Amino acid sequence: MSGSVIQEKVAKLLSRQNGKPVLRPIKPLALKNEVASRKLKKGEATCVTEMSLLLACWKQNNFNNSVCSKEVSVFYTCVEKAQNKAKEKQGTQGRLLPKEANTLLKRFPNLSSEI
Amino acid sequence: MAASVRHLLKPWTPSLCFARWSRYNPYYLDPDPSKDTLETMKRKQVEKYHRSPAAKRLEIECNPYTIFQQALENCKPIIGLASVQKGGKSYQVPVPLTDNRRRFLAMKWLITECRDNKHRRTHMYEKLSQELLAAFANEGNVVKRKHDLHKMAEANRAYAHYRWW
Repeated sequence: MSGSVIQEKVAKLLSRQNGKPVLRPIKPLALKNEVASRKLKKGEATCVTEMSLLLACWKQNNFNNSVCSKEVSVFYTCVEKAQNKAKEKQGTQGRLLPKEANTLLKRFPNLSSEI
Repeated sequence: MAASVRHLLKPWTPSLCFARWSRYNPYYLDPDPSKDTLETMKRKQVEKYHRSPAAKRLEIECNPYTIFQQALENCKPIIGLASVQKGGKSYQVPVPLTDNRRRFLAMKWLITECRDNKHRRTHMYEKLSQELLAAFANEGNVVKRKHDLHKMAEANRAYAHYRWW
């Protein structure tokens, strides 16, 4: 298996037998059972047009909700759609989310020492 | 009776009723504000109903549950304000709120308003019933507070693009 080939190479790099060791690691040369979390992508503000319509309607009618009920319902539908879109978009790009990867790794970790 | 024995009177399903607890003298049991608010609301509405002429009687709503639901609807804000930091300064940005958040704000406003701004010798259930009836008619301090929030959102509409969600 290729695992032992890599271990031998690493052992050669760390050994002092052929002059000074090439690597002087401070942390163990092994992968952690954790994945770094992804940086949140900054989107734009959603539903700004509907909100501005609603605010204009309010200004004209002295903040009366019964008169502006149509704008209110349109705003609500827009907000719901935006929420659904945001929920869908998160995890379906083909890759695992960092949170999901971490839970899986916690359950099935790479064993670094014998138990 | 102990400080809150009232919770023992409520069985785990609403249709059950413990016969044992009905044998206690009601003088020693603490009052149930949720039942009392609905009762006072209904009494006030029925009094109004009987006092009004026949033409207006159909419009007066007597069911306390519908009054409560409608009053809560009237107190819910539609847009809230969120504090967003941009370029070192924090701005109040108008933001759509989730349903849970809106319900929570409406209830919190009702309770705080009843606690703080009413005469100290009235019971909580009386204060709540007054506030709920006022909110049902779109008057009162809670609805005013909701309108103030909307006005602030309207004043800050220029910052709406500072949102990134």
